[in-house]
Amino acid sequence: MRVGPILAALLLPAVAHASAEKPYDPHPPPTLYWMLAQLVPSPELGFGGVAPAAGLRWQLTPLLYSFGMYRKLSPWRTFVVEPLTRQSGSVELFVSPEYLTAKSDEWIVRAGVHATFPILARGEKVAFTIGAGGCFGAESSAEIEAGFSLFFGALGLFVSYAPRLTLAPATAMLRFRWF
Amino acid sequence: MLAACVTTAPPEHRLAHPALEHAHLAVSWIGHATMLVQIDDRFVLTDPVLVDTIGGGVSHRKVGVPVDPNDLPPLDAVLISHMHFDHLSLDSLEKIEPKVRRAYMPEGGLVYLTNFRFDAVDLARWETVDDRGMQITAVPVRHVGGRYMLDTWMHAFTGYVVRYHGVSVYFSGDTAYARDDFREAARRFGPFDLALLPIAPIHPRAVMESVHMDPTEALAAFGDLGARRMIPMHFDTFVDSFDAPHEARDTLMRLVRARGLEARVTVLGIGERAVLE
Repeated sequence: MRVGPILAALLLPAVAHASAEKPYDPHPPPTLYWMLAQLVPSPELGFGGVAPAAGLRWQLTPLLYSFGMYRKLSPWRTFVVEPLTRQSGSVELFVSPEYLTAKSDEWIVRAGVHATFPILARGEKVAFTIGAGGCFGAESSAEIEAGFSLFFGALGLFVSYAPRLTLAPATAMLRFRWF
Repeated sequence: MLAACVTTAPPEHRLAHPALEHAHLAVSWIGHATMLVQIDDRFVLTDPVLVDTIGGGVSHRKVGVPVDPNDLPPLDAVLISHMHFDHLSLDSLEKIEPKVRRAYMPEGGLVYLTNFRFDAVDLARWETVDDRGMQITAVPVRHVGGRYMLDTWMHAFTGYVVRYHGVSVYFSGDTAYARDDFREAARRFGPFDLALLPIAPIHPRAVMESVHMDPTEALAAFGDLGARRMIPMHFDTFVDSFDAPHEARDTLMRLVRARGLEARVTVLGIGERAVLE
């Protein structure tokens, strides 16, 4: 019941941000190509559990605030995020469904906050991301994440640590992400 | 990487002093679509690429950058024609950031800029901005927008017309041959003193024809625009096609000689300058 007002409060700044000079500033649309790109998983390996683990992870961004994009534009994005909008400097909420397999199989969901900072070429060449959140599934745990991404964020290497996730407390993920 | 397979040759000409004290219209070719246009006391830089590699190192310059960015004059306008890596280079903009007064982009293009200190505006087709007496207009061309392949909704590409002190310069950016657009630009803003037009990549033609002019089409565009002079661009700088070395330049020069246009078409080398008036 309270989700509507909360979402409205979060999105209002996007409306209020409209510049006096009114640049062309639509939110990017969720095209079919974008949807297909979101289906591509990022492979990962798990360590520190009862056995070596492997997994696949998907990524969604319910809300992002970009502090690196051009100042006349709305800094808010929901789900569809242009690479440079994220890589040039941003804070985002993330939700990552994840399939992990070792001695047993497990679906978990990671959720939390990522902050991305540009390193080279405004983040288009290299950016650094750090984050924190939680893992939710058969087991739950707090977690931290960090990683570097290259080629406008399309390719990244991320590590995460969730001490109470006994299947794989530590993971290393080769992140594929296009938008 | 492709970049490792290509060596960058030093430019034949170096632009040690890009600004002239007295020039009504002068143009320096920095390579690819990067042109420094001086109209009296105003300086306009088009599609600045002042680095040796683009696209994360995937494409490498064949000829080095002929100017130290620190030697460039204060830039009244930087014109970005579209969002491809060989035209919008964020690395290059960082190098000239303190010198840029304002950047102009096609409608929708600001989202690819990031938060540089200089002012930036995006122009819709046929929209004109008057910047202290210099008029800059976005004019339609035929190309593709986007930068990251999946951004298929983006149609941020344009040509520009710059008018100042009675001088009118047409800069197409990348374009396929678009007779109606060229003629309409000429009808509205002609006659042009100068047209800066791309002549490559040529091959594979079946792919390139819908987005890039070859030398024959560039000369046709020159005629459609009714410009007095033409300087070709967008050739011999990056590895971006199956063209033979100097194929576009040599083809253009052969056509120019055959049509008796030597006095009106000036082919510059990278780092070379033409003082036209």
